[in-house]
Amino acid sequence: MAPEVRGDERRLHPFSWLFVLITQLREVAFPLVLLLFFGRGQWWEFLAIVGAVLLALYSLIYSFGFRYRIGTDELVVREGIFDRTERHIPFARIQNIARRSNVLHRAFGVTELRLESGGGLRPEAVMKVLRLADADALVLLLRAQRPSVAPPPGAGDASAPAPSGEPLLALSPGELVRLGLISNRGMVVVAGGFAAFWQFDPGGGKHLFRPAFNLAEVAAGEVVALHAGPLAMVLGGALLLALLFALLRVLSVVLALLVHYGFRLEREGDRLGAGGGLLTHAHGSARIDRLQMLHVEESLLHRLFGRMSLKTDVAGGVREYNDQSGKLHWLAPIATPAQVDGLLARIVVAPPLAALPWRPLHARAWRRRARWPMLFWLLAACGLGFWFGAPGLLALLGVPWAATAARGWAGFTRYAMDERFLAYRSGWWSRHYAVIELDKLQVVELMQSPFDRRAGMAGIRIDSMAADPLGHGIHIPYLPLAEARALFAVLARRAAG
Amino acid sequence: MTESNANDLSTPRIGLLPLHPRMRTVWTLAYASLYALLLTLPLVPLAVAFDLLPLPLAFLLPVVLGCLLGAGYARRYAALYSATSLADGVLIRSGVWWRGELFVPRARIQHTEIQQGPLDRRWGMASVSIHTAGTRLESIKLPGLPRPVAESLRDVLLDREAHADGA
Repeated sequence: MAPEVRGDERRLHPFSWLFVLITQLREVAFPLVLLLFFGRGQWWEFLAIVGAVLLALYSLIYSFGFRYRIGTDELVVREGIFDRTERHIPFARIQNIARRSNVLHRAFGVTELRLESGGGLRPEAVMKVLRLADADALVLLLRAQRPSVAPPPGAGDASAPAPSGEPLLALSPGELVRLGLISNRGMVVVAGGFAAFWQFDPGGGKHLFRPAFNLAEVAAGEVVALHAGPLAMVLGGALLLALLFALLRVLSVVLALLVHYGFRLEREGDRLGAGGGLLTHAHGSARIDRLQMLHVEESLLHRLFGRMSLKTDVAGGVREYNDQSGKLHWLAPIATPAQVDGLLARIVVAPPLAALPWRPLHARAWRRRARWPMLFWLLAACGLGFWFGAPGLLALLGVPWAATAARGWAGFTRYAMDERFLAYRSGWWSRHYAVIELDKLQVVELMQSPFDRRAGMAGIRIDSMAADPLGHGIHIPYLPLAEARALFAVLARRAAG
Repeated sequence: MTESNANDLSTPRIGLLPLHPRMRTVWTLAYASLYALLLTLPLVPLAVAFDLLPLPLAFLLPVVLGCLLGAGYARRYAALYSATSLADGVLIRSGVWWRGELFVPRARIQHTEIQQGPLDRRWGMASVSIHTAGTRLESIKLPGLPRPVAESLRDVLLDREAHADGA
């Protein structure tokens, strides 16, 4: 097919409308279809469908009106039919590049490209969809525009599907199986599915689950009819649970393979690129100086397998946590501690995690940490003891447990600051490390609750770019007041540059 | 943090930012009505249900008590609140029970905004919103500044070298 070039303007792939339509249908029509099936069929639903069709038509025309032009040092994107906008995006401003191609994309030999700049809620340009060769050429051009960097090896080979750089990490299927066993994605997906069905079924899920409940009742009846002893019943129940658990883990493994199959992390000059996926290929790249906080996760299962995970917040563009969006997020979905240390050293020239100058919290931090859970278990024991008598007092076991957990937590939780980095690690069984370069701090905060004031403690919290509001950040609690003040002063000075 | 600690960070450029006298009035009104509401909502039904007090008194008592408590809280809040403009940023202290000290480096400020409501305009009062590239503290508001102070703060904060994008 000859490229559609009018003057020096380029259009999207002729089948772009199909992909835009699919996105529209998925975003707009899918909830409507669910409503139609599960709702009570009212007139406004049909009105909404008409609206959805009109919207889809509009996006169709819109995708035909999309043009882009590659200038000497900028990308010009023209969008719209009735309401035209022309955006000039200097190459230097494009910092994150995300590309995604699912099975349909690959059938047509196309890919979706998203270019993000430093700020704003929306990407600078979403090219849905480009021919693979066009996308590769554009990506190579964007990389070559960076004057500080020598062109990456293999830059001349524009037909390569993923321009290769210095490989930092590649995950084998065996590692992905481990990842699936460690992650609990299967459980999350199943729980999400249940929640969705509950949401859409007007009968509160009763209708939907009626057959399942009936089946369970019949099965229970059969089991009772067997007149099995209590031991057999308990063993059978345990076996059933183990089977369900195993099924969920298998699902997790399948999901890990789907999302991360062939995962590779590469360094291309001053950029970092990562991606993989079995059905949908997602590949994201970002300039290394755009990386913000680095997160290392080490759950109990991670430690059993001798593994960790490493991910990063990347400044700019849309905050999307979907693994399939193509935005750079995972640096290593799974890796050995040595590999994680190696990656930290090669990407941000950080010392190994264990070599950071870790400092403990206040010596009484564990008591503060234990207080509320212990109080909760005491009150629970009172309440349960009142209602159920002596067996209710078993809740008192929660008190030493809370103390043990708090001691364990305070034993691991530490912060570290060296010339370039601020790091915080926390947890007991499940551990989390957060590392950020000092010149990437945005706001520094010192906090004191009434309890802190009484105990002579304070907490330090920092804010950074692109942080996940629900995820782990750096919030160091229970520091001796003088130490917290000193740390606050140093961090403030470093953040001020 | 004491003043000497604040000086450790950097030398003050325009120093402690004065609070417009009307801001204390605003806080007093706000906290008095909040406390009055918080006390009235549970106490009135209780007093009525158990026939503890005649109805007018059952209303009056929590309202008066709430106003007094709120006014006291506002006094304390105003006494503990301070915003200081330093050479390299802005330091804000606030809170009565939960106290916080917040430092926004000047190099991290993306843009600032001066806001004035109708009453602010009448009183010559303004608030300055400081926007950073952060996430949770993406926007930080300094309320109750006299308008000229707000303008000079904005000028001081904008008087900086062109920073790329704060990353």
